Amino acid sequence: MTRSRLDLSEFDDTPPNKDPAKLREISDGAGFPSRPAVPAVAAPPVAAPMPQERPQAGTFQRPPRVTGNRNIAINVRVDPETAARLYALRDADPARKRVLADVVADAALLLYEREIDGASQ
Amino acid sequence: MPVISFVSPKGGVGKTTATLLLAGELAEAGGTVRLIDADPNLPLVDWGQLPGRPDAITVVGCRDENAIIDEIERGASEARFTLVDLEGAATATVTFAIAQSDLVIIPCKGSHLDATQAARAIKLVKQTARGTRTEIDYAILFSQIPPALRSNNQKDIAEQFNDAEIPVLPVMIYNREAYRAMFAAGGTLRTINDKGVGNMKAALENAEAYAAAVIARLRKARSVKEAA
Repeated sequence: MTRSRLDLSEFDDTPPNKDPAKLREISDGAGFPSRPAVPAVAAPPVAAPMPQERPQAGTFQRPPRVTGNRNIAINVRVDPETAARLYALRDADPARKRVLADVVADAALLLYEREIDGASQ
Repeated sequence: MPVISFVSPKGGVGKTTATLLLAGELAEAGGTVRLIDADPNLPLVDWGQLPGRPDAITVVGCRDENAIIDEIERGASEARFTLVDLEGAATATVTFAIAQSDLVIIPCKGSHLDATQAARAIKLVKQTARGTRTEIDYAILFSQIPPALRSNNQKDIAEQFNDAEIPVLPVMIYNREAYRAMFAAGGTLRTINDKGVGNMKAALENAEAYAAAVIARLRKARSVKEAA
């Protein structure tokens, strides 16, 4: 007499501690949600077209860190090209204030260097 | 091979320091250690590129929740100890790592803000253990404690953990210059060039006692599992 072989395939499931779907369910329930493996990076904003309603030049506050005095901030007027870049950066991602501040710092330094160059010639 | 994860949804509580201190002591005792750096800033990967890393310690970065289970499994098969340093955030990666762990260490500074986040981590460990029908041991580790004196806040939090029967490691990690020096100069406490590093002797004693407490906890967890 031949016996039929037991079908045990139903027990081949992934154990719950290695089952991503199960773990995600637990995680979501505990307030630990999934998120993209690689944080989303905003598209390079430099190429963004300059909005028509924007002025051709802009005035930005130069960060106190750049002035060397924590209590003093200086408004810096930048050229149209830099202004467009700054507006695009700000519009693309308001959270990038630090980046914005760094760009303003660079722009301010550039303008200062230009002034020095101009004065020396 | 044991897997130990360092968990807190809050950053800046000393997870990475606790991970590296333990790795250094385990390597000193002759163990091989795989460090899995699941912090997006990859501080341990950066450390691994500095001079002084013992050959017994290998470091891999893992920022993908879909890969962390495989990475932990690989570590557990290749090294005697696998230590997972997780990001200070509430993400699914944390749950995935907890589910693979024999011991979850939850660093907590002596503030109520940290204790609240530690409680979140404990809740997640318990839910993961229940959801996966596994035993996952955990313990609070007081970290970055000023060596001179314990604050009333820290004492109060310790009492609350005790009242709630939450396990706390019997050794706390103090705030020491030597621990910061590992990340600046490279190496572990045992291999760092200690010239100019203050009170290395006290740092070594602290690290040694901490590692012994973790091993004792692991042994206890293992015996509970075997009894079950």
